[in-house]
Amino acid sequence: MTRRAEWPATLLAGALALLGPMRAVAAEPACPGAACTTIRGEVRRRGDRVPIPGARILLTAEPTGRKLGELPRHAHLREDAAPAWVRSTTADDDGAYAFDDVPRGRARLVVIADGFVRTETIVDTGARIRPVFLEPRREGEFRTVVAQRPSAPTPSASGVAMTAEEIATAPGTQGDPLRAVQSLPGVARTPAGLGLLILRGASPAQSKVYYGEHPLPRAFHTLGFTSVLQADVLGGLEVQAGNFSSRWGNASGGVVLLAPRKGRRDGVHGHAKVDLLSAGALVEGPLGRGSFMIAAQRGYVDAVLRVAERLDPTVAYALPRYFDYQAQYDLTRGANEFTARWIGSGDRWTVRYLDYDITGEQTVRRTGADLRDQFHRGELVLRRRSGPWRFLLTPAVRVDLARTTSDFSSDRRRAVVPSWRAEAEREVTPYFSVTVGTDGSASPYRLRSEVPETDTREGELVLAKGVDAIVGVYAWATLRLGNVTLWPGVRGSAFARITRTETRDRTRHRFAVDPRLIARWDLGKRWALRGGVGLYAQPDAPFASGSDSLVAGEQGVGTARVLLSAPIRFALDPSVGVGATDPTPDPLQSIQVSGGGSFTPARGPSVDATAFMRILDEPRTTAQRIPGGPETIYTVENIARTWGLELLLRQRLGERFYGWIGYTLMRTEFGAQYRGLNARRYTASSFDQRHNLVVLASAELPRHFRLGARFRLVSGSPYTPVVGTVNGNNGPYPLLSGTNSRRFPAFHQLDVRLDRRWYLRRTTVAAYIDVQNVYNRANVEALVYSADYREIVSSVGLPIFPSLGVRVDW
Amino acid sequence: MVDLARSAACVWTLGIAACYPTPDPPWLVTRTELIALRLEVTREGELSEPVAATPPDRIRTEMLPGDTARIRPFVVGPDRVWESDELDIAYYACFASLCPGLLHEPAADLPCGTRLDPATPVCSVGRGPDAELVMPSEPLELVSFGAPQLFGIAGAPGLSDTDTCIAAVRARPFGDLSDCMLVERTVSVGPSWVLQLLQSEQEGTDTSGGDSDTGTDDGTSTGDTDGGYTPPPEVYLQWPNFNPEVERFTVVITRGTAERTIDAAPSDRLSVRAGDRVLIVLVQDPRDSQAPAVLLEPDGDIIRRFERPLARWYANAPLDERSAGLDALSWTMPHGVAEVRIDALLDDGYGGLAWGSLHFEVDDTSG
Repeated sequence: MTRRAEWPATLLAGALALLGPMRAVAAEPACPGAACTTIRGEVRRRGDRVPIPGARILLTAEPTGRKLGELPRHAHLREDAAPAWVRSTTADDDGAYAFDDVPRGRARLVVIADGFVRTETIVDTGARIRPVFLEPRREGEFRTVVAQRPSAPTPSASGVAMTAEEIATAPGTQGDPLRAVQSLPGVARTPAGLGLLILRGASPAQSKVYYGEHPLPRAFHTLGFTSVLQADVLGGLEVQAGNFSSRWGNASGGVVLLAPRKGRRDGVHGHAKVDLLSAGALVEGPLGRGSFMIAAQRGYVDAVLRVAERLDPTVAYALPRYFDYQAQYDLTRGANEFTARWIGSGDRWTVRYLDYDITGEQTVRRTGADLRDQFHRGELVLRRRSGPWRFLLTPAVRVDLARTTSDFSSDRRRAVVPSWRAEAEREVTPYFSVTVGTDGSASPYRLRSEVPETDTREGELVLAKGVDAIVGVYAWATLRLGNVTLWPGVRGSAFARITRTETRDRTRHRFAVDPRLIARWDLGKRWALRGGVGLYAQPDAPFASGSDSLVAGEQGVGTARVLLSAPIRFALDPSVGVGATDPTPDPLQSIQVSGGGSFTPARGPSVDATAFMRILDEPRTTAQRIPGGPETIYTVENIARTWGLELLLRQRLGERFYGWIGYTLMRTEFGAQYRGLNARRYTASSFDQRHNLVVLASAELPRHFRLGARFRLVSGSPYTPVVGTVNGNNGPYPLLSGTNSRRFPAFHQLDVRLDRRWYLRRTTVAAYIDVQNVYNRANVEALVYSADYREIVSSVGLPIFPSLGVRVDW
Repeated sequence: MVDLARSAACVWTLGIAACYPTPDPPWLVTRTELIALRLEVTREGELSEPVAATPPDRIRTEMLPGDTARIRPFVVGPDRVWESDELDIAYYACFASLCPGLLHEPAADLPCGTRLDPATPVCSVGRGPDAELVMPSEPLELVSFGAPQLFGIAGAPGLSDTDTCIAAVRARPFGDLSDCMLVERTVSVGPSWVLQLLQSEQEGTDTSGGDSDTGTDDGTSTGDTDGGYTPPPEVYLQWPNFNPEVERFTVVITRGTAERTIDAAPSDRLSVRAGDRVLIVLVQDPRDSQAPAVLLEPDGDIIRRFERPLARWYANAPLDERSAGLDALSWTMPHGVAEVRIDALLDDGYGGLAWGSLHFEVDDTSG
């Protein structure tokens, strides 16, 4: 719904002041018979042509010889103007107005509306009157948020939300929604700002991102450049870094909730945008009684790198290419809401190198590896309110396609994944309501792994099939006891895994029960305390401990060597899931406890503080054989523990200014112990960031500029130092000392973003420049060693990095 | 600004290879390094009885249970090549892929002696030039667990000492080993047909051979015979794997249009001028290729090994326009250095090693 124009007292007084003297001297126009006419017109907003209801329109005599058309500001009527006649009216809900019985000929049309720049136009009352387009004074007058009924309330002990405006204009993030999240407390800084979500020290594989009611199979495209969703399809975003309700499962860390928005019904609108990495477009509008929205984007980093290939053909480049799309139809009829949604994402990563052809005389560019990963998901969302009941039913089906091809092997995995969520909520009394629900997915997959036969080796073909199934049932209650609200809940999960190879079938299943409690105590209008405690289980997943990766920890770069930390390996890992699943779905389960308070004054910044603790138990069974002895089964217990404090000081002044100071003090460590063999030793986790300070502000400036800046000061990331070199059978290899026993220097960086809009009649053009690392701080993300690891040659870090983008909205 | 532009371009193009200062190449010797370990069988055990003798001017390197081998280290420094008796190198043997990770075990204090046992993951071979490695006497364990690794450690001369380095590598986590020299290699075990023969005798199994790639039907392939395994008769005539030797170099020095060729022996000293183009070719004895040699897989399949020893080249000074091949090295003699030493390490790919050096005295008066 478009916001209705409102009349602040000052503007109304000004309008009356303008009218006052004119009323005192002007009379009704005299136009007997054929000399009179009726004029009709519309008042709309510049850029997106949205009607402006309630705009005030004045029609006055115009005795001057000015040309027809809009007048510059210096030619506007002055207070002492005395036109021969004046008529006034107000635009209706469709922005339309009409004047009857006005003299034919030239007249002046004055249009005034709250939040918009006043316009005066010379018109010919005998001709058709063109729509008047008003330019908004503030950015907020432009952005239209399509409100929708919130989905089922999901309490949490520490949720932090971001608005669409904040997502789109946060400095250093190029408008990417999930990268914008990295500016919030509790969310770790990632190397070079790449796409990772590390919530309260949890590995990225331990947190989930939900788009609507279903989780996204992957939140970022390969190499973490961008999210798999455009920001413009979102109505909002909330980060629940821990102690989230039992509604959300299969995550032992935190969740990020992306709320889809509905398409606009106030006309067909859309945008097209282009920046250094990608191009995208969106179109939306009414469709029957509902609305539709279609969005798509395509990355073209590969096209840029192909140019670099021509400049230096000797370098082997990895060419990433990605696309994503979203299509949605929404319909609301009374108490029922219906949504049909289709989303998809695809990534392709090609590594090319220069080689000689069969003659040995000409060079050709060959493909060394080709990785592809796609998912496509269709879902229906049905909501219904019936008296004290609220129902939700959302079935979905997703198709996963993954393939890797190299000179040595070819792997392919296909899966069709049906999933669902069904919920029923009943408000028993105003103080007590209950919600029960179920969610889950079943993923039958087929895996084909082929090693082609060559002159020196036999070929090999492995076929495997299986089913991964997760079923969850959950319930929570809302108890309002005076100023205290309690949300006790429980989630039960079943994890089943069936693997079938040519030689055997295996079926494994595991169960987990997660009781959870969230509480809130409102101490008056301004103060509130809240807390949570609970268990959070998820199925075992690769990389759950940040210890495995498809990208090798050691990379050769020319004659130098780079040792990559776990966060970088996560970010660079194409994560193309073609491998066979671990046959044992042992669940991980964490205990989370948090508590905090908030103060929201009538004026001034709000303050929020949360203390938290998380312990993750990850038992693994492993077999070891001592030479000459029997096979011995050991159980290794990996324990990851995190504790810390988050502070958030936040200020918002309408749409003109937003900013916050976020600080996180946190320690994340992990320890491994073979049961009964040795004492557990704890070392810093690869995701540990002791101090994380973010200061961010964005303000609207005159002439439709917006300037934002983000400063971050973060503890150096831990790394494992090289303490020696061994000349081995295959060349030198490094000896590493204590895992994560040293830290890089502290990280600090300033990002600045400048936006500018131009409001044309029927379109709006926006451009931005977003400069990361403005003062080119040489932050260290990884060390570059000589080939023999004797010498640290350099370090890897993001230098000053400008990004440009242009967007046209209509 | 140059660094800024380069690094910015690197991020944009992801051409990371071109983005950072080029480190010293791995062939440039700037500090004393323990490059390799050569094994020389000094005493053969009973199991080597049916094996053909190596040529008198060659030293066997692959070992059978009961054989004893001397360990010779290849240590290069900026000023000279070190002899083994000048260094205090400690040696360990382990049955694992990477020995350093096992040295904290108490067993590392125990001498391997005459029983290098896979059940003991690590043991001490010895220290200094008298260290000897004796292969374990149970061939089945070798077949089951593979060959042991030999690991050497010493303090870099002038920087550290061996005891300090041993303490650092045995610490958990590792201590500072930056001033230490460490090397590791796999002990070559064979000839494989002997192990197969022993295994079949001990297990009493018929491992009648699989496919032979000789392509002939002369009845010499392993056959399905009654009561045991019969290797092809040609194996009794082939040498076990021995170390190649660096005996001669051919050096071609080009100055302008003039060219001279020198037949040099290891450790010879040659005179050149700065700016001369130098080509060294390591002249190999055809016997060092040891091709074709018959190997037998555990399942009895016959495969053939073709050796082609390859040279790795090291230098104690930067070389201009350097180009290295399988057995040749060429470069333009740089200005500003008085002497260049080139070390060649010859590796046959099956555990056999040899090395030799040439010294070039550089006349830089024209520069």
